Amino acid sequence: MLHFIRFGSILFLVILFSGCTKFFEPEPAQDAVAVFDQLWTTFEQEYAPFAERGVDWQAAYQDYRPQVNDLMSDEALFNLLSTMLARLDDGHVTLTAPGRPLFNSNARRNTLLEDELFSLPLVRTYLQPGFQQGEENSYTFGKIRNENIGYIHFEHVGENFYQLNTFLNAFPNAAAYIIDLRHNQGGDFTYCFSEIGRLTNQSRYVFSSQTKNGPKATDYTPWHQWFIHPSGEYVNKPIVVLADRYTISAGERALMAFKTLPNVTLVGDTSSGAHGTMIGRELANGWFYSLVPQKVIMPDGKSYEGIGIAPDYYIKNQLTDMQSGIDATLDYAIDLVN
Amino acid sequence: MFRVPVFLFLLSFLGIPAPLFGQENTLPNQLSLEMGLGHIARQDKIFSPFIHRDVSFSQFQLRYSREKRWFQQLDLGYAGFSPMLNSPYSFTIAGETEQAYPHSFTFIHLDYKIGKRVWSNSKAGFTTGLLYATQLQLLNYAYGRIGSFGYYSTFGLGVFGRYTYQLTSKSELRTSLQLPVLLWLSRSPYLVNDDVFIENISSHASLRTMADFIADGKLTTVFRNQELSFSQQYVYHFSERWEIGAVYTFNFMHSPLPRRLLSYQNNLGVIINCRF
Repeated sequence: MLHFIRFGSILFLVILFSGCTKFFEPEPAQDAVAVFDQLWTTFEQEYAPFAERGVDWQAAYQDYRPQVNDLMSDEALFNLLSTMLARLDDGHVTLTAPGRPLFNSNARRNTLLEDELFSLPLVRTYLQPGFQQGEENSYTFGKIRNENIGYIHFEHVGENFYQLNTFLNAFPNAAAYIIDLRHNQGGDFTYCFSEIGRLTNQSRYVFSSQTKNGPKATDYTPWHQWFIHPSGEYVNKPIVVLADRYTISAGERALMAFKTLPNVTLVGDTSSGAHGTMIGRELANGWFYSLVPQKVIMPDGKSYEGIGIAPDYYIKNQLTDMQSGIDATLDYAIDLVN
Repeated sequence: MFRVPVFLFLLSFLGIPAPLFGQENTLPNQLSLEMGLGHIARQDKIFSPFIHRDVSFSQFQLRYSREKRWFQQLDLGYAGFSPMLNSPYSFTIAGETEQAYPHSFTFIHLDYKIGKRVWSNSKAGFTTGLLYATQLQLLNYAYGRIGSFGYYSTFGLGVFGRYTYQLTSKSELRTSLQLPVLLWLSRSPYLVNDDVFIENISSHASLRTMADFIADGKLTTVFRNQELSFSQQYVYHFSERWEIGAVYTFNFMHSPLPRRLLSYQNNLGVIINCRF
């Protein structure tokens, strides 16, 4: 009898646990109003840099929520959500839906404004034959024609940064280096931080960041300080780092790291100004969106989210120059190190 | 919510009288292979407010057990799921077509049990003892162009119970239930990526990163974090050495912090046992 009771108890537990989906928390609904509310509320609770970007999110709710109704089409809802997210003007904030172009909250990135002002094929015309290229242009390095200058471009920040050491070894006698982060799409900044060690002879404080850890506006982790540290044979030569308006995210954090080096000069345009970490989220209708749950401050104690990292020398390419084979930013960098 | 059933479950084992019956098998060792169909329903609010469901054939379990004076069992299991709220779809970025893929969950567990038969009669027997259970769950959430890595890991000590019932001279029912009581729990942070998470991945070495994640865990108990596993087997003895059968497994997980995780996993499969 005892074993029947025990067996029955076990079966009861199984049925109790497997059958009761009521233990799950209710899921957001799929109608337009619910989708709007889910997206707005998630930003309210999880997005960090409202203040840095000067956005009143409550006001956005007042402006857009009355326009939402359950009869509106997917297209109308997508356009309305996009318009609301556009207020953030944040290159990390996106909205993805089936069969549509991805919406980017940053107007420049969304419209690809001046995207053509950087051209890797044009850069390659500046390099001596035999330059190195990574898969899908992840890196490109070589020697500038008729100059004793090493050049390397990183398309994103990831394992391609392992090539930094290869590049330095390839041109040990170069008089200077140009590190090109223009149109850098970001990635994982820790690859830059782990590979930059040969360019510094001491630990240097780069930035601090804190991440949301609760739904309230004040819920944040403690500030975490990020450093770069010396590693390997020290290389102490003039370095010019190039950036433009499409240098974003981990690309900007790499820029911050290079900026701490006394022998580095930043040339080009201000970066995108979207450098907190980014996370993805999903909506009941299968759409995806992304947001930023992190604040970042630089050694001067200021946040450059929404502002970007300004260059020491502002140079902007012109399309007409580029059509004539001139990369004015790169030319300026070459002149500078000469 | 879970304290009462858990407490009753523990009592049911601890309160058993302990007349010890040794079992004399001519072939005390057994190697088992399980495979079959799995269903998951999982809501992990770190990553999504939605319940992710999927059915998958990627369920495998390898088991070694030995039953002489002591009962010992080592389980190594794998399960893979690819849930998605909607079907995969395409979208474009700067004119180029991209694909939105499902999430991907990879679960690995390694359990060791040691116990004694504490009750038996001519047809049935009950074994109970100590459990060491390891869970490693690697979660790749795909949100269109963005992906997030997540993890859930526990190292637990607990109890198990195993009940066997001889149906006929050639067939048997085996029921087992296990519950870690004390756990070392490591989970993704509240919002997927925080500085500690990023610091941990900065070694760029998978094993070291996983070790760093685990080191950042914390001690918890069954009253806060529950992992219950139930298994029901029917086996048919082909010969003294070989058995074949069907198995149903139910895994339940609940972890409230940093954000609520609730998961039900039901597996149905076939099992092949080889005694030696």
